[in-house]
Amino acid sequence: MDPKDFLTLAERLVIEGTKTANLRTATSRANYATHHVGAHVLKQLNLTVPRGPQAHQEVAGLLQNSGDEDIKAIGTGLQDLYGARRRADYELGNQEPEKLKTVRVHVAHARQMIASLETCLAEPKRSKVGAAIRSWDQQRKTAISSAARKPWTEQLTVPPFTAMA
Amino acid sequence: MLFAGSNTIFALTGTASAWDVGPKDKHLTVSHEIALPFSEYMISLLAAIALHQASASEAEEISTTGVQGIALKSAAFFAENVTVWRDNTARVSFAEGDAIADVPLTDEVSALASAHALRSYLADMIPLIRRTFRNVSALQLRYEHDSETDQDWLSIEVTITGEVAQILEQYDSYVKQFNRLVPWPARSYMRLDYDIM
Repeated sequence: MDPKDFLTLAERLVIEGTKTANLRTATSRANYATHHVGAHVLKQLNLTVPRGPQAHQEVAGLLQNSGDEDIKAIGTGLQDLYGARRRADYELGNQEPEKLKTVRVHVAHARQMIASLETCLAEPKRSKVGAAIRSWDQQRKTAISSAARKPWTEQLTVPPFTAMA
Repeated sequence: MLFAGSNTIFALTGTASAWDVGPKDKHLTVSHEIALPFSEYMISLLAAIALHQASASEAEEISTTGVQGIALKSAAFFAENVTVWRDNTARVSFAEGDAIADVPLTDEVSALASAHALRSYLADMIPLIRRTFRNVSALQLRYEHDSETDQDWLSIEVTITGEVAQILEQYDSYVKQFNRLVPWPARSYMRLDYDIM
């Protein structure tokens, strides 16, 4: 299915009224729509996106390391929206996810992020952003694999405390 | 003594008041007239404690301006190793009085901020948020743990007033400044949660 259908649903739920379940679901759908479009764009740029819950942070993290100010902003925006989605889905005693104006911002922001993400599929942005994320991803994997081979004593990055005289 | 061996001078402008430290029958309360970054906050506390211990006075107020400070890592060591008693019976962790840019920190927030070196970024971010969102009526920090992904982060919860288009514009400006201010991976440990009135 087209992930943007989730966004269409979110927009409809906001227009339909102020039922709390509608508003909570609108934030949730807005987050998933943006996440799936982000994952799709990254795959189109030859990047691997894991399956399962870890994919949310991975998509946001890759976008945040794209070297492009607008795409980095989407990575951060997606991270924030994920937090809002968790509150909407799990914190039923918290009334903040039921505020119409807040939800309208979530949904409108998702619409903006998706439009911006889609610009990555056209040149010249496609090559530039794709190369930057792939390069960062490669550096990260090399660093992780290199750290894993070191003995634990060499993995310490914080020098031990030196007592004062 | 706490300051022995230190060559660093910190000019502090905070004022600590009404303290007493150490034995279980004493207590410590410290307040600042201005918001201090964490390192200065710690150092001013240490300065106040040392001065008090040195003079053993019951002074109501003492300025820490110009007091010789100590290295940051020693302040961190102090925070982990010194116990402060609030009153005759309650033993409290040092983090209880912890705050960044006037925003109090819970123990969980404080621990995560220290573990991932977020304090200096938070000290910059909080004023950034107050500047960028023009009508912030409340701001607090909350620790969050996501059991689905086993990730931890700090939510910066803000209550703001404005219209949808206005908030979107302010948010866009905030995010771009945030990304310039806070490097990866520190960014992944901080999230903005806005509640619009």
